[in-house]
Amino acid sequence: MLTKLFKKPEDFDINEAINLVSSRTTGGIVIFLGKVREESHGRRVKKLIYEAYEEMAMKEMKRIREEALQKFPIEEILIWHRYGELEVEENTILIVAAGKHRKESFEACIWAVDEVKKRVPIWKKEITDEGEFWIEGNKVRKA
Amino acid sequence: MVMCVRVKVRYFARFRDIAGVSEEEFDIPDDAKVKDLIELIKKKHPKFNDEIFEQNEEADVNVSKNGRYVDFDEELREGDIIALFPPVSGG
Repeated sequence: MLTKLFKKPEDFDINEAINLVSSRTTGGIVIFLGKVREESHGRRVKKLIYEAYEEMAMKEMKRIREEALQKFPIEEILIWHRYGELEVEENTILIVAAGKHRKESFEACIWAVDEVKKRVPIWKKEITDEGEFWIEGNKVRKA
Repeated sequence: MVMCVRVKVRYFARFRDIAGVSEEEFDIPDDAKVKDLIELIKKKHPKFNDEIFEQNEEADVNVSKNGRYVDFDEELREGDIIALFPPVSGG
């Protein structure tokens, strides 16, 4: 599956992801793996609770993949996202872009991460030492 | 006589906290648009008016119909699934 949501405890198998985008003509693969870090704008993060509108998130991830294949001269791109209660150091998102050469793979990977963050209906709630906060785009709201 | 259609409304993230439910149904006139439905939602849940629409641009409110982003002028049909949610924050 080149676009997929993983509900914790399900996690990414990065080797499987690489196999899914690879072919005999692939010369450059770029991997972006997002993780939960322990700090967010000065707040000490205990965990992030990711919520997804699953049906729409799946559709939007498929659309982003199709657009990336149109927009960049890449061969394949994979978009995976996790949701549920994710602890510090856990995986959150995996994007793997494959092309004949590295340049288009880097560009497609960066573009796809940005589009996921803008469009895919997934939200994170930060559980921190300073309280609980919804993250909405670049805004932070007390939960 | 005005015919009515029934649509399902789903709320996510902080908007679900504000609505107090994750989904509910509304009967609306069959020529209604998203903005008409929003008026009904604001009447039913005054907190939406106070906490979302009074303080934010419409840009801070996302609406989808059957899994695709739409704007406030989108027309609604029987059985549509409408979702209201704040700006997303995946990744």
